[in-house]
Amino acid sequence: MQVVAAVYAVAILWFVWLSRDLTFASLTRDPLFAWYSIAVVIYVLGRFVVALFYRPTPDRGYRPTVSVIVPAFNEEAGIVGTIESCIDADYPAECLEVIVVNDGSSDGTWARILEAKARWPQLYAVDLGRNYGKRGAMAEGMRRATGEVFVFVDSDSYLQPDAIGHLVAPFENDDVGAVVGHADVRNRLRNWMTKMQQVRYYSAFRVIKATESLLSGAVVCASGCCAAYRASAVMGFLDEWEFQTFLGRPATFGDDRALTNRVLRDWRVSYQSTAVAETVVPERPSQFFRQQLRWKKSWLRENLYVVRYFWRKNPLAALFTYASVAFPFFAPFVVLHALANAVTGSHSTLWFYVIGSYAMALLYSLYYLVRRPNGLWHHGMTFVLLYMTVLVFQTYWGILTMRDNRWGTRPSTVGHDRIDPADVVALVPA
Amino acid sequence: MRRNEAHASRRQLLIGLLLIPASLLPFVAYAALTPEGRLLRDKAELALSPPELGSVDALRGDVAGAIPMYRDAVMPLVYHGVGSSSSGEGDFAVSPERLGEHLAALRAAGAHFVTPARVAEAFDGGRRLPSRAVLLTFDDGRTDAMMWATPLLEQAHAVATMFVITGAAQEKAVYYADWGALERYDRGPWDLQSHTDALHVEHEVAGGHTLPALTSLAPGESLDEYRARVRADLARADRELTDHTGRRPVAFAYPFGAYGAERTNHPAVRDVLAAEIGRRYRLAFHQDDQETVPLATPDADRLGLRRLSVGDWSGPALVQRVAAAVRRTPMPGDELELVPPVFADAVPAPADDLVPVAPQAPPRRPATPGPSATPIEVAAPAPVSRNQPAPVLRSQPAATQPDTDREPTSTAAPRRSSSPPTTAAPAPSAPAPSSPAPSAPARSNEPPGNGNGNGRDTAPGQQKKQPR
Repeated sequence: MQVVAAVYAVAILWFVWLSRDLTFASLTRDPLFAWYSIAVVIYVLGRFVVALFYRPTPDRGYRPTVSVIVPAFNEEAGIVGTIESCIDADYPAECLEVIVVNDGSSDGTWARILEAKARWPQLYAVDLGRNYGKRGAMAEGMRRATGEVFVFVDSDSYLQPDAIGHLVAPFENDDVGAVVGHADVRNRLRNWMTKMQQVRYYSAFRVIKATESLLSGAVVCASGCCAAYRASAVMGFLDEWEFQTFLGRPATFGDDRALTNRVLRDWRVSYQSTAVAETVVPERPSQFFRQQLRWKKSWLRENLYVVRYFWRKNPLAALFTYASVAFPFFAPFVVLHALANAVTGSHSTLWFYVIGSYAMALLYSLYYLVRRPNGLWHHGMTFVLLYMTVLVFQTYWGILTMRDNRWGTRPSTVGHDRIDPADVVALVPA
Repeated sequence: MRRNEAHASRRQLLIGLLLIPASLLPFVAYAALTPEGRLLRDKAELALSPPELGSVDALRGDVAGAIPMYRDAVMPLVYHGVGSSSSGEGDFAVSPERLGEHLAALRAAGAHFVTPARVAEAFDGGRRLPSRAVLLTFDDGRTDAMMWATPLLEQAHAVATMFVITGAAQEKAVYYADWGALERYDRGPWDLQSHTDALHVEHEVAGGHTLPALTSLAPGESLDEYRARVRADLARADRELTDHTGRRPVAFAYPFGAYGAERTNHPAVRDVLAAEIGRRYRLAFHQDDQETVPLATPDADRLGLRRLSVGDWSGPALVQRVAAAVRRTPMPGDELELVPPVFADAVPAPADDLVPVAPQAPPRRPATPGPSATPIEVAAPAPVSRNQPAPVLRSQPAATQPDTDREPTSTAAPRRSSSPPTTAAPAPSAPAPSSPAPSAPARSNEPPGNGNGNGRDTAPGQQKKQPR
């Protein structure tokens, strides 16, 4: 199966190569479209090529002190499992502290945390007393943490036993300020939405983040589900990050991206494919699209920050990053242009766009097939379908609704209040 | 639970496996439904299994001697597209395999491929053409034709003529080759000639129907305006071709094969057009009346030469058609090659242009100069083979590029004809192929009964004019 997939992928690449004349041919006729096609193909394939050379940092037994920080908001169902996966981590107990921060949950989350505390006295349990938002909870955890490395685990994510050991390995290099692990979808067999996200996550991490990592350690987003930061790299701008505003409003989402970008300015950020966490993803399209829109908005916001310093990085990394910033702004016009051409009678642009996107999607999906021959590969195609029809327009929709900083899944009570120590209950490790 | 999971994952694996071939469907659809897709598929096919010329030696047994020996005349053939059968163009495209068969069969039958410049030179009394000369032409400058034909032409050591719509070559597109590609082909086995700059279109004329833009007046257009439009277009085409190939074009193919006899809305168009074509080109081609296409000879109307439009025929079938064309060609006495006895009675007697001779008179008197004989031609050395009773078959392949003798720009300048425009009109009347026509230069480009002007001996007269 893998061999078939590999041959298939090579055949697709060959057709892409053959089609170069066609693309060049449309340069004069249709410059926007042609340049976009050329740039996207180079960008996508370039990432594949770079990703081929990616190797994870081997775990050579480097064991710094680690604080695992788990912010929790209304997670009564999953929180104990998350805590357990951290406590049971295959990491020396004397070097590991697990801090759970309850961000004013209105359900039984705190009660579950207390049960966990009874079971594992070494747990550090913090209750903020009311809801401050995810950043507040994370910041409170960081302020209380004592480790050299902070590991963030979302309350719906589960670390594999050896994840922390792998996650800290790159920190042996003094230039590394943050490390992101690999996320698999925990509920991947649930329905087509989650299967699709499993394939998407795989390539987003194993290709995109691997590429960014290899190019001078420049991963632009250490995803919240499994990320580690060097304490000394983040403490300097904890306040700036916790109380970040955008367009005069609190920047609520994109905490992970915002934190990464501030570290990235002066440090390397690496991807570690061997540090695996499983995370729960949206199962309903409406949830999925809201999540994507949130990510898009934080992407837009953080781009304004990233573009200011990225040119100082490795030129290739900078090129990839600026390209990734630019493409989503062009993409909707390319789609609309292709559609407009089709309406006025020339179907070739639309065909070319559709078949080109399909080929790129297939490459990503086949890549998944080669790496994970579990029969899910074709769900990667669904993602491209959604991308071409809906997600591609979220760039501008995100701009238009930028000031709407509601999470979308829950009523937001988030202000920009400093955490009131009087309300905080902290149960230190026994 | 475990068992269910195992079952589910087996099912999932199976689905994943089945979807690998299914995922090819969009590509198949793209290749089948869009011109770009077809081109891509063709390119892939071309790279994976380049077309092969049929074995010349194997065909030799079938077709050797099938084409009667001739010299100083040429068989013009026309192709349009070359490509896979699914291109949906029917007669306008032959498959690469067919083309390979055709080239191999022609080679095996002793044909030699020539360029229009070579033909024009020979017709004007210059260097004589090789025996069984074939002018392989393609219309429109299509990418598919050049792509597929190039490797075949190279294998056959043949040269082909592409009549390029220069306007279409300006822009980089899929269907027509652009100048970048054309220049590349021009360095290979191709000779580029004119097919107008932008007049390979039909336009709407007064009265609401459409006619070829080259042979009809636009609404409100006067004859003078028409002349100016055509002249400017042809000048543009020539300039482009000269710029990109370094040679001035000497030949022209009428778009849609229309030269004003039909498909026009003004009776004077034909003469005006003939004059304009005659100003610039030494040879012009259409493809009227496929059933009776003869060879092109020096005394034919050189601005109304007929080409045999090649269809999806086998190699031997093509050779038979060419042989039939040879047989129905009335040869001017001086030009005639000895016809091998076995074919003698199948060949209509050639007739002298002015003095018809009785049929069944081979061999003709080589000493009597035909009206088309020019002083230069008389001076041409007589080949040894002329009086031999049997056709000479070339058993060894032609030299690498024997027929690609291109002329430099200076000598390829079109000859200006000072004849009145009307002389360019082809001589009508349609002899049956079997009947030796008394009115000899009878190569009809028209349906019978269309006009007269019978016996207008135009071409030879024209060609006596010295070049500039």
